[in-house]
Amino acid sequence: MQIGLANAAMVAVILWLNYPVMRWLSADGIERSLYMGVLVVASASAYFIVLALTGVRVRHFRQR
Amino acid sequence: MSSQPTMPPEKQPPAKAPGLLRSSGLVGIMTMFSRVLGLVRDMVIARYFGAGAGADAFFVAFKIPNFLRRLFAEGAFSQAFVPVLSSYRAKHSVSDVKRLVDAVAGSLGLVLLGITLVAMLGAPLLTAVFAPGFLDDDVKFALTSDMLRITFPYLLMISLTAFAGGILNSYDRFAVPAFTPVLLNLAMIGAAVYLTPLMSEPIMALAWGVFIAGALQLFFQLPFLMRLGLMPRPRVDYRHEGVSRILKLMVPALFGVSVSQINLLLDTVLASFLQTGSVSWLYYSDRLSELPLGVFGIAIATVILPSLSRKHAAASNDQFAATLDWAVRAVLIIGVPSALALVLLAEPLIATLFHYGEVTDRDVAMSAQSLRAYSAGLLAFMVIKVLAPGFFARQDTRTPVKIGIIAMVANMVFNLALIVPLAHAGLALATSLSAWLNAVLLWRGLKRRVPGKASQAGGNTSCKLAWQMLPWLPLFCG
Repeated sequence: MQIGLANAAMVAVILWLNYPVMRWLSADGIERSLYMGVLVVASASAYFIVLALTGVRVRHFRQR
Repeated sequence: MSSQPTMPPEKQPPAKAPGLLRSSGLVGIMTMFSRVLGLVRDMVIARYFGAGAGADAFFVAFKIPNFLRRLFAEGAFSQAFVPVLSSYRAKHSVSDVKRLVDAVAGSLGLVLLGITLVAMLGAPLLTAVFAPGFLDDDVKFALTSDMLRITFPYLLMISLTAFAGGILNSYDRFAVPAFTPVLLNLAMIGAAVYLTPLMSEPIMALAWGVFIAGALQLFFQLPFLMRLGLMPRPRVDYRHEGVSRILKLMVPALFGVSVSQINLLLDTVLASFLQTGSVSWLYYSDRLSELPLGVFGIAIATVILPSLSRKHAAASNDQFAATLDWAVRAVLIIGVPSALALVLLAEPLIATLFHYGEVTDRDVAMSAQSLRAYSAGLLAFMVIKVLAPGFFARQDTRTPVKIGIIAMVANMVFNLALIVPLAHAGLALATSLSAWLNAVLLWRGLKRRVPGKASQAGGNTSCKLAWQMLPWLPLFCG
């Protein structure tokens, strides 16, 4: 359930922020790289923030 | 050569056991660094040598030892050596472990030296087998053979590096082997920039770069082996109990690794019948889908093999199952969002990384189609990476091979069914579907062999998450 919510948040952020395909194709290399960076950071943040808010902690993944 | 337990395990050097999460993170960061540097290396090579006859010749001369390295050193040998070494550490004395290391170093070294010498002498024959298309072009053919003589010793050096890395991983020194591939990229970038002007045939600089990289990677690991007190004194002894166990385990493992290589080969053969560009579209999308797999999947698989081997050696079924459960959960928490992001951002990612120069808008669109198809199988590729060590740790290399063969046959059936309606994307989708079959069969096999409570929990976790993935299914078909 927690991972499902986190994925939904990530997908929502990507759909909200993503450019149309034509804009990606016409942009220059620097603009594409910078905006891809923004998308990756924003969507990863959304995913991990929702995971944290729903109670998933790093310690749950500690194992020896 | 004694295989009698002569000293209790507590007399072994105390092994620091960092958490699996920390170790996976460390290996993942190193692998990520190495992959990024690999991209830089490709950009430098493209800038200096483009895609002419020299570059073609080099890629073949580098591909042959590299293909054998995957098959032999990093595939079959590591999978057979680490569990045997772990069982020696658990059940035998320090001096027995040392004798095993010496015997493996001598026996492995001798075989590899023989193969290397034969390959260097028969370089033209090897070139004819791996690149029959070059037979029509005398200059390209001769250049490839000349470079192969320089690049082939890389197999010897990198196999010994894999051996040293296996020892270091068994002692939880994951950072050193994980950092080592960075040296290959640095050596090749350095050779392209600094050696090229010194060579009468510029492309030869890259071949020497590969040779230097092999030596650098091997010598880099030796001080760390010395610090563990396990610097090998090579001794040829094929009758050593540990060596013969490794050889017995290696044969099916070698076949298992070959299965995936044959699969890749068949996909390429089929793609060559499709319209021009299909092989490249599959290559670009494969490079992208390999990134999360290479960084996270392999990182987790690397660190759990020694841990699982120890737990199996200690006959701790519940802990063994708990470690597998941890690995599957770790893969799911990273694999699901990675697959979704690759699907949603297929065109933007391809455009950002590859849409330069000769790559057209249509190439981006076609590559994005196969990237979506590969993404559908990303989770399965990652799960296979972590479940297969569950068998290797139990010194069972046969079952994953049998399952691999079933998946290979299924892949061919899916290929033939999907290539007509979906073209190159059909080949990628067939790979994904057969990966899912492979993953499910591995999980069922492990569930039967490891009846611990945690493996049931792991199964439940997987089922719940698979259920949650269902609503996203239409995305992969888009």
